[in-house]
Amino acid sequence: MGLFNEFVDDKDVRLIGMEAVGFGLDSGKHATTLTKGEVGVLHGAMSYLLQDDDGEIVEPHSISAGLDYLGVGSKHSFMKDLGRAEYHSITYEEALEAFKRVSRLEGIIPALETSHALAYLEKVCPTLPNGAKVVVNFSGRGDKDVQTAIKLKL
Amino acid sequence: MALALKSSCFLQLKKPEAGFNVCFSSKKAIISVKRHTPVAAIRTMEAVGLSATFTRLKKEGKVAFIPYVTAGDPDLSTTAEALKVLDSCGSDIIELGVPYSDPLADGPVIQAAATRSLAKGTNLNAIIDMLKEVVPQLSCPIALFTYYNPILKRGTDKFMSTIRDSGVHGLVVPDVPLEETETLRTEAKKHGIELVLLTTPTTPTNRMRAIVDVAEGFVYLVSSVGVTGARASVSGSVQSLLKEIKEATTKPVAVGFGISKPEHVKQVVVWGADGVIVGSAIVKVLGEAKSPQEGLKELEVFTRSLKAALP
Repeated sequence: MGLFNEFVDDKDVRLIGMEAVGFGLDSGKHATTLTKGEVGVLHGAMSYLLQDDDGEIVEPHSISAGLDYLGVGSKHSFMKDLGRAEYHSITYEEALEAFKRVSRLEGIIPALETSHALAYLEKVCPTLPNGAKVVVNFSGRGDKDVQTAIKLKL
Repeated sequence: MALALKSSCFLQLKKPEAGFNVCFSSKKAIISVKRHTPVAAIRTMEAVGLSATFTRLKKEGKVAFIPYVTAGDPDLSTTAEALKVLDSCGSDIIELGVPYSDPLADGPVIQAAATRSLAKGTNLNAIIDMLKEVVPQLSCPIALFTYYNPILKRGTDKFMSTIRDSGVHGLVVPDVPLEETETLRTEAKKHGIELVLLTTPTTPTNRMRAIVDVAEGFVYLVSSVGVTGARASVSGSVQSLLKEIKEATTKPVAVGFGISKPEHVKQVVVWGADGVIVGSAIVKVLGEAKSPQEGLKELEVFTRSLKAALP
């Protein structure tokens, strides 16, 4: 649950989670378990899963390892159902663009996982009221992802 | 006595009607005839369920032989033949694995078999069609081994009625926690399917008691920590586990995971198991054969050697 955990009980705090689209929502190569998944059981836990009509697990696709899991935490699934948290998707191009921009502007190399969240700022900020405070969770280091980023930009 | 009975049955076969009358007068004779007459020729009765099978075996002082094969590996028509071979070699129950895309309870051999099967397009509907064709030719009951998600996807009620209509008697679902089995059990019972539950070396005693209390068909004792697959020997902890479980229940206990040789089978029998489950070793025979026909021949030889180790 990470950062969400501290804010779950604060109803006035909006919780937004990002998922990786990979090559696109309709490409079949993405990792948006919450956005496109259906309720299922995997590894003994019920949550949203990417699966086919036979209930076979569809392997997710994302440029970042952390967003590549077959399912998603049951708590995230629950919060989606409750409407307490909202989940959106970001393509890898958008994530990479955010990766570059933050590295350039702030001197911080964000993890690719985090870059998906940073990319969403471009969409959500214009919709927020003036003075709204936005907290972004930088979940890890991006130096491990530099080679991936270079490769994908070629 | 056994020889005399066999001889009698063979002689009587010259007069079909009289022959069947004589055969039905003795349970052993029935078994004997089924083993020596073309299987397809006999469709006299539907196989009894898992519990009834164990009850019969207990009276006869025998231990159940329960082989496992993965459906669709190398292909479904070979699976159909494999089921007949296993049945004719004296299987008491056959466990049929529905291939799954994330088989967390299974080791490398069965994982590879599932992957090969799925790559060929095997799915539950195709397996059901195959079973409808084959089950009437078998004398022993079939238990399906499947993960939970395909059941949920299809709908539990629909899943149970579908497999029951195909002639399946039992169900093993390794990834459903005890607390979540209530729905499964209710639907299974409604459709006459026996839901087998598993207990492991790491299951706490109180939880083991709760599991065996609601298990149906038999209790599946996982012999080792980890996944399916052949081991050099059977863990000595199985002996004490068997003793502990038998103190908690009168239901039959079958041991699986890691049983791959006649010596393992004998060992587990000595320790008091009511049944022995062999999977990976059998799946390997079929999966690694040079051709399906050769695989079936090797399967027969191997299966007979395992069966011979049982009383």
